[in-house]
This record gives sequence, C-alpha cells and structure tokens, in this order.
Amino acid sequence: MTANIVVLATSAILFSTGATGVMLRRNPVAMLMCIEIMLNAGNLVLVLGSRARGNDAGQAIALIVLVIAAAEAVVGLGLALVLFHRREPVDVDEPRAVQG
Amino acid sequence: MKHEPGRLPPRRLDSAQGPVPSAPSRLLMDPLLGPIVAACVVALASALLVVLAQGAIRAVVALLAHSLSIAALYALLAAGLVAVGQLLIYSGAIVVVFLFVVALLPPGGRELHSQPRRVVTGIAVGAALLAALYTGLGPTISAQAQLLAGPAGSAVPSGLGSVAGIGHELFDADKLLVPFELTAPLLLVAIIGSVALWRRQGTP
Repeated sequence: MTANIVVLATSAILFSTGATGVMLRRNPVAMLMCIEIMLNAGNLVLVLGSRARGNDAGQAIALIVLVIAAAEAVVGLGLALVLFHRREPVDVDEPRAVQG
Repeated sequence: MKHEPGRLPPRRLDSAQGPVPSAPSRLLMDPLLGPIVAACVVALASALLVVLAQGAIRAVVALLAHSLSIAALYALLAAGLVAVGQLLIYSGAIVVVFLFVVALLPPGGRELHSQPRRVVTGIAVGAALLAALYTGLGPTISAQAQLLAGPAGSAVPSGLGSVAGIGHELFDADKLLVPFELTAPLLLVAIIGSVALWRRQGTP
C-alpha cells in the first residue's frame, strides 16, 4: 500500500461521493458543489499520473480543468440564482421547459 | 516509462530476480505517506460533509476544507504550481462565489427534503460507479504496479511541476496551446451568459 495507491483510491471514492451527491440533493447550489468535488477527483488523478510518469503534461491539463471549473461554476450559479428567485421551494426537478 | 538515470540499475536487478519484491526498497518508509494519508482523510470527510450537510453555509465551509486538502495533496505530489492555482482559483474565487450566492438566496428558499426514491438512487449510482471504477482500475493498477509502487517522497524527477516545464507544455503549439487559448473565449462566454441570464430575469 503505497502513497500513490492511496491517492488513486481516494480520488475514486471522491468521484463516486460527488456523483451520489448530485443524485441526492435537490438544491441546485448543493448539486454544483458536488460537481466541483467530482472535478477535483479527476484533477487529482491527472496530477497523480503526472507525478508517477514524471511528465508535466498532466499538471498543465489540471490547470486548464481548473479554469473550466471556474466557468462552469459561474454559469451554474447564475442558473441557480434565477431558479431561486422564480419559485419559493426550490427543486431541480420542477422546471421542465427551457425558453430560448 | 521514464526512469531517472541513477535509479535504473537497481530496478533492472529487481526485474532480473523475478516478481519477488526487493525487501529493502519496499520496506523503506515513505516520508510523505503520513501527510498524504492525512490529506486524503480530510478530503474524504469534507466531501461527505458537503454531500450530507443540511445548511448551505455548512456545505460551503466543508467545500473550502475540501479544496484546501486537495491543494495540500497537490503540493505533496510535487505539483506546486497546480497547488497554488487550486488555492487561488478554488479556495479564493469559486468558494467565495458560492458564499456570495448562498448569502444572496432569498430567505424562504429552503431545500426540500430528499425523497427516499432519490436517496436510494443516489446511493445506487455511487456504489455502481465505485464498483465500475474498481473493476476498471484494478487491471491498470496491476499492470502499472512498478510505476505506482515508487515511494512518493523519493525519485521525483528534478524540475517536475516547475513553472518553466508547465509553461512549455501550455504554450507549445504541438501540445496544449489550442486548448489553453480556448479557455479564454470559454470564460468570456460564461461571463456573458450569466449576465444575460440575470438581465432576462430582471425584465420578464
């Protein structure tokens, strides 16, 4: 049981924890936080691979994923705010129509 | 597979002896194992808190702890620049944006309790994903055992994770230049999109 295996197992458990949270929660803000956990788990594997192979490419991709996570959080939180201002008890299953 | 020149002869000796692991190198205590395990435990516990917390503020604070422990893991895995980026972008920007949104939420907008159907579905999806990852990763781990077995503290190629090396990856036209440049319009579109969402909401 070496440190790399521990990190790999941690990221697998983190990813499934995040997926469980996305299924479990009805609050859009909480769902976004669970998606951030899943993104972190993926990033952790990228950095671990970069460390195990001695190659910088994984860390560079991890930085790009960080930027993508920021963009996703901005759009998702904007959607969540609009949803919260529309109706009082918020449920992500409630809105069914998207208007362009 | 890249090896440091100084470590090549003992590895060859090991593989010549067969699959029996060489006792001295395996039993050598990894100096970073303790901190890595501690950071992993904090990351897992705070992720569980994020999933299970009822109050939104508690979940955001747990997310902050989660991102800090992930940044510590990056630093322990010889990824200093990514650790700094995680601290600045995640702990500094994203978690604060989450806090702002939680503070802006109207007071009546409480979260409904999860129905039992949803709880069962969530746990089933999580267990299925974990099983799929285990079966998918198992052969890879056994195939790449030599790659993964190295103690994290030693044998780091010098210069791994340096700003110069990562910049070379990001700005080389043959490597990651196009994805890196595409993140700029992505951020612009995200900003315009969120502003447009809010303006339409304001004038129904």
